[in-house]
Amino acid sequence: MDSAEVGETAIRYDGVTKEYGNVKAVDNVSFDVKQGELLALLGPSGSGKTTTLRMLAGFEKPTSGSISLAGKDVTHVPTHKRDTGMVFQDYALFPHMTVGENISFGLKRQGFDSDEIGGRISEVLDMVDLGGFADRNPRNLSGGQQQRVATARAIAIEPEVMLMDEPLGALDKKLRDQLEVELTELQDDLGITTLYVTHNQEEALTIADRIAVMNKGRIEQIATPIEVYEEPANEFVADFIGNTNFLEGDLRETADGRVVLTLDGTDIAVNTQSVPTDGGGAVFVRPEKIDARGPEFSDDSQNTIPGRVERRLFLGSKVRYFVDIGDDLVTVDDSNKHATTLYDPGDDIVLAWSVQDTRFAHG
Amino acid sequence: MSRQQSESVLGSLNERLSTVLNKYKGTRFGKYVLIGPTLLVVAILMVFPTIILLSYSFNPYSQGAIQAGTTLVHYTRAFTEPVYQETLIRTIKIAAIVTVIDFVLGFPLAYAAVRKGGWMGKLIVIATLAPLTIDLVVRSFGWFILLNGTGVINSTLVSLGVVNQGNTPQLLFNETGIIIGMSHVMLPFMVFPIINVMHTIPHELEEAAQNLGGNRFTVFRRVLVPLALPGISAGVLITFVVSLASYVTPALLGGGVRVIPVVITETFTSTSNWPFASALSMVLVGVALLIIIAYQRVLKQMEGIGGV
Repeated sequence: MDSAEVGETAIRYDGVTKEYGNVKAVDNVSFDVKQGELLALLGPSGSGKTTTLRMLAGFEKPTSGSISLAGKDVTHVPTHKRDTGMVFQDYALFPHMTVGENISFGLKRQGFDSDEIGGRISEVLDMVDLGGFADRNPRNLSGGQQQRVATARAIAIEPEVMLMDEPLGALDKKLRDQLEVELTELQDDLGITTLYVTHNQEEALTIADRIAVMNKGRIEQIATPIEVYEEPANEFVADFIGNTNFLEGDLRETADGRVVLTLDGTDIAVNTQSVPTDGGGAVFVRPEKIDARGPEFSDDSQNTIPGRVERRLFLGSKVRYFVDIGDDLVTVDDSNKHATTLYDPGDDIVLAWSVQDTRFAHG
Repeated sequence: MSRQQSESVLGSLNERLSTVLNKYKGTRFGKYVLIGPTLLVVAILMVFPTIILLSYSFNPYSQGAIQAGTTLVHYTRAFTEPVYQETLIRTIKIAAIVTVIDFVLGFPLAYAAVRKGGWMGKLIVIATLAPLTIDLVVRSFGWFILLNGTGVINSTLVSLGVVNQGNTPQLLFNETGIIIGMSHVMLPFMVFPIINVMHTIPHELEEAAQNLGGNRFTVFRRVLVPLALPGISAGVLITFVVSLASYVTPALLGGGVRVIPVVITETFTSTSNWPFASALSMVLVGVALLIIIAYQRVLKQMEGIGGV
């Protein structure tokens, strides 16, 4: 943390490839993580995100490419000489040691004396709200407590970067939500550069400064959570993050420079900023961007299309409709405000959403 | 009988047996019925002969015959006559050296067998097990070929220029020969208990230890050994005790250098001094028991320290 200023590059992957036999687990991946930043590697299982993380820890050697940490090439540095602190999905706490001994393991390797170690143990345990747990056996702790101990053990050694491999993956939703907030606060307070692997898009959106969306060993997009959600780089990202309606139809450019998708006879205007000059792709709109209106509704400034409610799901904070618009079944999320009208299956309605939210995603 | 038939017969037998077992499971009768046969075998083949040996060991022996009466003279002789003292010490020493060698060789083998997995892991397991499938005598003659003065090992050393033709190391018919042969024989007894426990240690724990700055040796000492301790202690105990009682390998590879089991056999067969042979046997059993007890004390204390 003291070896680099905020804003400097803490982690750099340069053309990193990892092959297992003929399978490319990670395929020519390059990205930078800035000092103090939390970058989430997000993707489905088998997308190469964990392998990418493990190569920074030194558990796997890249087949080609290089990885640097705080400006130093660590590609061929053995694990124990790299300054990283890892939190494992199953925590990997040493079962034959107490909580305190788990934390002191790394400190001893760094050559601290026992007084310093004792002080540091209680300091990091306080940080994760586990003050007084030093003498407990990790086996007797709850999942959430074990997760905190694993985090404390990793931050105790003040690593250059934190590596978190699905750290909340084994916890139930409520606890996960709570720990997401706590982890982000801790990471902010310490200003520690973090690489965070998750397959959970909500988690990534919540905690990350930037998200690298991975698929088949490649990074599909690397951007802030808002950009990744609102301006997905391609179909995969649009589909993987959040719910998406892909609209199938003929795409053409009109004489006045607008881009229009013809859907079952209705013209839908597409956000021209998102349309590429060439190549395939699909037009999409997010369910919560669409308003469900009465059958008489019309508004020329928006895209509108008539449809019939197929099914309604009441989800508490929102109401989800599946609406038949002819060729497609469109998902519509209406937020559950006081004035919201509820439509029933079979009702004829009009769907309305802004041109801005009608985006094109590359294939 | 075709394979299918025999399988169905076996299947129905198995079914009938498990019905009977389930019926009596949990009852006192059931418990004794189940362990009864084993208890009977142990009693007939182990406890009973040991008691006979024990009683022989107190009988006087003179004029080539066992006499009535009680005496401690055989035990006094076993502990005071230099040749027996030396042999006892040599026996314990060889068993200890073999145990250490097998741990040093066996731990990495067990580790590799589990961590490498796949065909590599299987190969290690098979290679370790293979000696058990060959008779001890045959195996010992194999070592003759390898270890004798003009054998494979020595002639290789000579051709490599490591030693001179007339100056080859004596690898056979001495302690070295016994240790080499027994280390080979005993290796599976060390490897398999460690393999079993190694399967239960998540690989992530090693990664976590490396990540926290532990080098290979630290990971071995602070993580693997403490967690593998149950398997290691079983392996060490079995290897040591079985080595202590080994007869065939030392008899064939030791030449004039003898260990207690060899002396016991000679005493039984050539001098027919059964009381003294019995006393020597009891001494060996006693030494083994003492070492087992002391060893378990030490293990208990190590557990208390928690391996850190």
